[in-house]
Amino acid sequence: MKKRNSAYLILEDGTVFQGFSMGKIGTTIGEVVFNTCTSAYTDILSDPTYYGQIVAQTYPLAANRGVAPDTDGSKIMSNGYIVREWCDVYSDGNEMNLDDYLKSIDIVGICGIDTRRLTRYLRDKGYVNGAITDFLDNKDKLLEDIKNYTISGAVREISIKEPVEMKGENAKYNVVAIDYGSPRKQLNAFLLNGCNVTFVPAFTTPEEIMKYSPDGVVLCDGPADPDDEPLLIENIKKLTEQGVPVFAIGLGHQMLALAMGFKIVKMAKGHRGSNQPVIISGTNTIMITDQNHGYSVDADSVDSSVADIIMTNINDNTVEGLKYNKFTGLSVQFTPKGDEDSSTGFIIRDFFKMMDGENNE
Amino acid sequence: MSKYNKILVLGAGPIKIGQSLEFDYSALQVCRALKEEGITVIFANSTPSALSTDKTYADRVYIEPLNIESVKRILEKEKPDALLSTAGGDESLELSLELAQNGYLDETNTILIGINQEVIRSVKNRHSFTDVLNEMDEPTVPALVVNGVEEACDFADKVGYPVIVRPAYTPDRESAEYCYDRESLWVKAEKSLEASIVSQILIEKSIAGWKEIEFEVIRDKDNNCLSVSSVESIDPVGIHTGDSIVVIPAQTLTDPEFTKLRRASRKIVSKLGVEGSCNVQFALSPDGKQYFITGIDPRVSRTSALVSKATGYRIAYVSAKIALGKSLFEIENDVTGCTTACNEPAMDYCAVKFPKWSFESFDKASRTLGTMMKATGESLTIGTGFELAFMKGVRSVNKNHLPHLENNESLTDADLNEIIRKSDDNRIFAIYEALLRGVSVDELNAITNIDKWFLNKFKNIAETENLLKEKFSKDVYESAKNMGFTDKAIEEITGTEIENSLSAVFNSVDTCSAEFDAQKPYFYSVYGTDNEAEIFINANKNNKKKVLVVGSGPSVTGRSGDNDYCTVHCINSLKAQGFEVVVINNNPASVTTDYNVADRVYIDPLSSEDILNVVKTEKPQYAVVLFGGEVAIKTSKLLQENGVEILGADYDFYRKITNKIEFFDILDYANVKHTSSKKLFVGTCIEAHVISDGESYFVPALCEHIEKAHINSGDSISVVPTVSVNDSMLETVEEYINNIIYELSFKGALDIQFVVFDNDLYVTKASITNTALVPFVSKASGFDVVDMAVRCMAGEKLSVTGINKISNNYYVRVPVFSFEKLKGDDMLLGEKTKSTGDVLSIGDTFDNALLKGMIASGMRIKRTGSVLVSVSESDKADTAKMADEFLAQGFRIYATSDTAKILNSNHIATNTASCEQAIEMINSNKFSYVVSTLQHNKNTDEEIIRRTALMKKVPVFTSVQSAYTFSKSLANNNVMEELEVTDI
Repeated sequence: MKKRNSAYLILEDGTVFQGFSMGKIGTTIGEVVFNTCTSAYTDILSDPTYYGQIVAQTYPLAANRGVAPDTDGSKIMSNGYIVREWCDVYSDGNEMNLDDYLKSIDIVGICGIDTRRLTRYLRDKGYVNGAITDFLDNKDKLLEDIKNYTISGAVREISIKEPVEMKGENAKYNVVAIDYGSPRKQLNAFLLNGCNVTFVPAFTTPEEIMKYSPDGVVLCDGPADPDDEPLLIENIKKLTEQGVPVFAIGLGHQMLALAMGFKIVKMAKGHRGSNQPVIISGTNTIMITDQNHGYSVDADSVDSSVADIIMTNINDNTVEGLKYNKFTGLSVQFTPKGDEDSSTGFIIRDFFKMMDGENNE
Repeated sequence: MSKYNKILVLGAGPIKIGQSLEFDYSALQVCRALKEEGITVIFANSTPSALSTDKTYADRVYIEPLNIESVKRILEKEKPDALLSTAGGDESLELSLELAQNGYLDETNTILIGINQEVIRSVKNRHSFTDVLNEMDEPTVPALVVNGVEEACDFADKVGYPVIVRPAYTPDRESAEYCYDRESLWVKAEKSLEASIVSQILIEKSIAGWKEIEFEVIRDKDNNCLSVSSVESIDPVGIHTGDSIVVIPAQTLTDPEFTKLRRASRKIVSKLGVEGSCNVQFALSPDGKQYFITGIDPRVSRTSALVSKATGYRIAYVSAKIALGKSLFEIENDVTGCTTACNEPAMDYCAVKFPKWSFESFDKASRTLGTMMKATGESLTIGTGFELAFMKGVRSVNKNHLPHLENNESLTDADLNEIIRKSDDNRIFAIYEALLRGVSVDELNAITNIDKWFLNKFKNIAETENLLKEKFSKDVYESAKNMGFTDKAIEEITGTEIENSLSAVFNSVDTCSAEFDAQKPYFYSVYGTDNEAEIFINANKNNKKKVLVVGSGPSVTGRSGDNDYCTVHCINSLKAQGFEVVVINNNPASVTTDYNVADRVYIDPLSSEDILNVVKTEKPQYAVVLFGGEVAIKTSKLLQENGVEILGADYDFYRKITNKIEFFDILDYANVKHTSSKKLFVGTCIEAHVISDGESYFVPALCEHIEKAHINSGDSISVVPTVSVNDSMLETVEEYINNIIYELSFKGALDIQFVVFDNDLYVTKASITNTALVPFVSKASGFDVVDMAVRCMAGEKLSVTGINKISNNYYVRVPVFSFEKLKGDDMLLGEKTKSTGDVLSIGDTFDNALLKGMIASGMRIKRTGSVLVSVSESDKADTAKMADEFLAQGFRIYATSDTAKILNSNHIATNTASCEQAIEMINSNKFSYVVSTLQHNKNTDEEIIRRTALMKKVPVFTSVQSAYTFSKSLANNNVMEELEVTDI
C-alpha cells in the first residue's frame, strides 16, 4: 500500500472528515455540494454552475478509466473535489489518473472519506460551506473563513473578456450567445445544428448585441445567485424589447425571469445530479436532465400574460421551463442537448423555429 | 381505474437452469401492480413451487401445462380483456405469439399487452433480429450461411479473423470451430461442409474476448425511456453471462463508450416500441471502438430481477403498470416515498453477482463454461468498494471465505495456467492464486481478456492476503476488513485469533444515493461509523416481538423454489402473528429479498459473522434458521449464545435427525421399524410432512411416490392421495408417526419417508430441511403447511390433528430436470437430487392427472410408434408388465439384447437392437419413448442412449415403474385434449 498524505474536510459547524489528499496539496474553501453522476469528471469540474463549490461525487469509484483531459479550453470552475476512491491503474489509453489530473489543473481534493455520510449531512443541512485542507492547526481561523465564505462576482470573474466568433456547420442562423461563465461545450448544440455563434462577454450591452444583427440571442448558463448583477438583468430586459427571439439556459433562464418581474427562490434542496426528471406541461413527455442549481423561478410569481410555465420538475414541481408571451422567447433551467435522438433535442429546434419566424404553438 | 377489468398473466413454468426464481419474484410484482388498479388477475403457471401459484396473490390461479391447448381453454373459460406474457420467460412470449397468430386471442376479445407480436417476432428469430437492427443502423455480429469454401473465406476476409465456422442448422454449439486465418478456415470449412446435412455452413465473426455489457432499459407508451442500470460481465464474451461474475453498474467503460452504448440501447428500445422493460446486450471490442448487439430480451429476465435488487428499482412492477397504459411519472417509487419511476436510480455502491453451480449434484457433467448456461443460482452482494462486494460474493457461494482453490498448495504454476486457460467454474480462484504467487496482471489479461481493472482489484485482495501473512497489525486488519475479509478468513491466514473484532455497520439501498431520506430502504454491511439501519430502526420503533429469518442463499438443485416458497410463507406467517420480521439473504432472484415482503431486508452473505452483524444491529429476540440450509442451521448455537431464541429446529435437533445412527436409535426406542439393515428395500414409498405442536400432530396429506425407492424424493413422481396403500398400512403409518412424535417432541414440521416392503412398513429417513414437496402438499391439501408449522414453532397449538385423507381430486407432482444443459451428466437418478423444478397437475382420476403432469413437464406425448427398452437386472421382473402394456396399445417394442431375451421369454414380441442400432434409430426419430435404467458402470453405451434421446427430445423413463404407470395413463385417457382446466 502506498503512503498517502492525510487531508481533512471541515464543514462550517466544525464537523471533520479525515481522509487522504488528492490532487493539489493545500487548502480550499467553497460551498460543499454533492453530485450523483457516475462519470463525466471534466464536465463537472468545468461546469460554471459549480463555480466556487467543492463537489462530492456520491458514486464511490471514480475515474476507473482515468480522466481524458479536456482539450477545448474549458476553464475549471469548482473549488475542490471529493471522491471516496479513485483508480490509480486503469485499462489503457492516454488518460491521466484522477490525482495527476487534479494536480495538473491545480485543484485541491480529498479521497477516502465516507461520501455517503457526507451526502446525508448535506441533504439534511441544505447549504453548507466547508474546506479541504492538509493542515488542521489553524482550525478556528479556518472555520471563520469558511463561515464568511460567499460566492460573489462570479459572472464578472469568469465571463470571457472579448467576443469570440465561432463558425457552425452549414450555418443558417447567426446567434449571439452571452457568456455568464458557460463551458464552450454548451454551444455545440448550436454550432452542430446550423448556427454561427458570436460568443460575447456578460456585460455586452443590448445595443452592441443588436449591432451583430442576430437571428436570435442565447443567454447562457452560469454560476451562483441570479440577483448578483442587477445590471445584467436590466440589459436582458432591454434585449427582450428588440424583437429578436431569446433563448435562455440555467442562470440565463433565472435572470430572464427576474427581468420579467418574476421572483427567484432559494430551494430547500437543490437539484444536483444527472437524473432530474422534467415533464412538459400538458403532455406525458419526460426528459431526464442533468442539473446543479439551488435557486429556481417561483411558480406563483409567473404572470401568465407574460409567460407560461411549460415544464416542471416531477419530484418537487419547481419551474423548469418558460415560454414567453410578451416577446418571442423560451427559457429552461437545464442544458438541452442538440442531438436528434435526445429527449431534450426538440427545445433547441423550437428555438430555431422561433428564429424562422414560425409561431411555435 | 384501468381500461381492463380482467387480465390473464402467464407464468414461466418450472425452474430450470437459466430460469430460476426470478420469474416468481417478477410475477408477484406484476400481480401486485395489477391488483392495485382493481383488476381481476388470472394467473396461469404449471409449477406448484411458486408463490405466484398460491391463491393469495392472483384472484384465480390455474396450475396447468403452459401450452396452447390449456391456455386456450383458460381464455375460453375466463374471457379476459388482456393477456400479459412478459412476466414469463421466452416460452411464454412465444406461446402468446402463437395464441395471437392462431386467432385465439381475437376469438375471446383478448388484447396482448406489454409487448406486440411484431417485437416478439423481430427479436426471437435470428434473421429478423439482424434485419431489424441493421435497419436501425445498429450492428449485429456479421454472420453468413454459405455453400462453399471460397465464399466462406471471402466473407472472413471481409469481416476479419478470427471467425467461427460450424455446419448450418445444427443446434450443437460444440461443433463450432475457431479459425484464425484463411488457411485454417479453408480446412475447417471443408470439414464442416461435409458434416452438414444440407451442405451449408454458418460462418460468423468471432467476438470471443470482447467485453460483455448489458443495459436494462424501461420505456412507456409516451416514449419516455430510461436506463435503470448498466451491467458488466467480468468474463468476456465466450462465457455465458449467467455463468460469469457480473458487476453493476459497469466499471470499465470510458465516458464516450458508456454514452455510446446507452444511447444505442435507448434507440433500439424506442424504435422497437417496447412498452415495459427491455434488456439489450452488447459486445464491445477491447479497444472500445466497435460494438455489436448480441441479444434483446423485451421482458422481465434474470438480469431485470438482479438489477431490481441491486438498485431498488422494481422493474417488473413498473413494466406491468406501463402495460396498463401508465406513464413513468405516474408510477410511485415507494423506496424513496417521494419520487417516481422516472427517476433513474443513482447507486453509491458496487453490486456483484456471483454464479452458483450445482456440480456436486451433477457430478459427471462437464464443468467447462461456454455459451450454454450451467449455473443454477446466483448471489448478489453489495459493497462501497468492488473488493468488499466481491469477497462477500465468494463466501455466499462457497463454504470457504477466501477465493481459494481446494488444493491450492499442491498445484504447480503450470497447473494453474491450465485451469485459467480452460475456463471452468474454478478459473476465478486460479486467477486469484496466480496473483498471490505474483503473476502479473498483464499476463493474466493476455490469457483471459478479463479487463485489467478487475484483475487489479483481485490483485488488491491478494496483496492484502499476502500482507496479512507477512505482518499483522491493526491497520492491516482494518484494511482487510474493508476489503471483505472475515475474521474467520483472517484467522485462517494469520493463525492469530482476533480479539477486538471490528463489527460492520449498514448502508442503505435507496435508489437515490442518499439524495432523499428513503422510506423503505434495505441494507448491506460496510465498515464505517454511521449505522443507517440502526438510525432507521430507532426512527420506526414499535412494540412488536422481533424475529430474524435466515434465507437460503443462491439456488442449488434441491434448494430452490421450494425453499423460497417456505421462507416467504414463514415470513408471512410470522407477520400475521404480530412479529416484526427481519430477513437476511443474498439471492437476487428470491422473493425474500423483495423489500415489500419482510419488514426489513439485509442483502448479505449467510456466514456466522454476517448474520451476527445483523443480530448486533437488530437485536432480535427470535430467529428462524430452518429454511437457510445446513450453514444457517449451524449458526443456531452462535445465535443462542447471543441471546437469540431459535424458533423451530435448531442445530441439535437437526443433527439428531440427520445422523442416521442417532436417528435409528430413536426409532428403535419408539418401536418403529426402519431400513437400517443392508437389505434392499424395494417397494411403494410414502412421504408425510408431519406438523407438530409438541404434543399432537397433523399430516395435511400423504404422498405416494411412483418410483419404488432408492431415488431422492424430490426427483420422484408423487401423487396425493395415495393410490396403492391399503388401510392397514395407513394405520401403521399413523402408529409410527404417533410414536415418533412422542419420542421427539418437537414444534414445527418433519418430513418422514416410508417404504412398504414385504407387506410391512419401514421408515427410510426423516428430514427437517427436505421441503421439495411442501409446496405440492400445500396446494394438494389446501392446508398452508408452513404457516401451520411456524405457528407451532411460535407456541400455538394445532386445531386439527391426525392424517388428513380427504382429497377431491388427484394431484400429481412431476419433477423437471435440466440435463440438456449439462453435457456429460447421466440422467439416472439416485440419492442426490437432480431435479431443478417441478410441475403440478390436477385431475379427476389419477391417470388424467399423471398424463397432464407429463405434458406439463414438457414431455411430447405420442400414441403410436416404437418403444426402446433397456433395463437393469433388478428391474427385469416388472419390465414384462410394462412392455406388455405398451404392446397392448399398439406400440412396437425394441430392446437391447439382454432385455430382449427376458421379454421374449415372457412371450412379448420384441425386436432386438444393439446399442449402436438403438442410438442410430433414436437419431432418425424411430422411437416414441425410451425406457433405460441400466447403470453406467456396467455399460457406458446406456448413457449415450439416454443422452441421444434427450437431445432428440424423446421422452426417457429411467424407472420401469414410472414407464408402466405412464403407459397405463395413456391407455385410460384417450382424449387428453379435453382435460379440464381447474382453478385451484
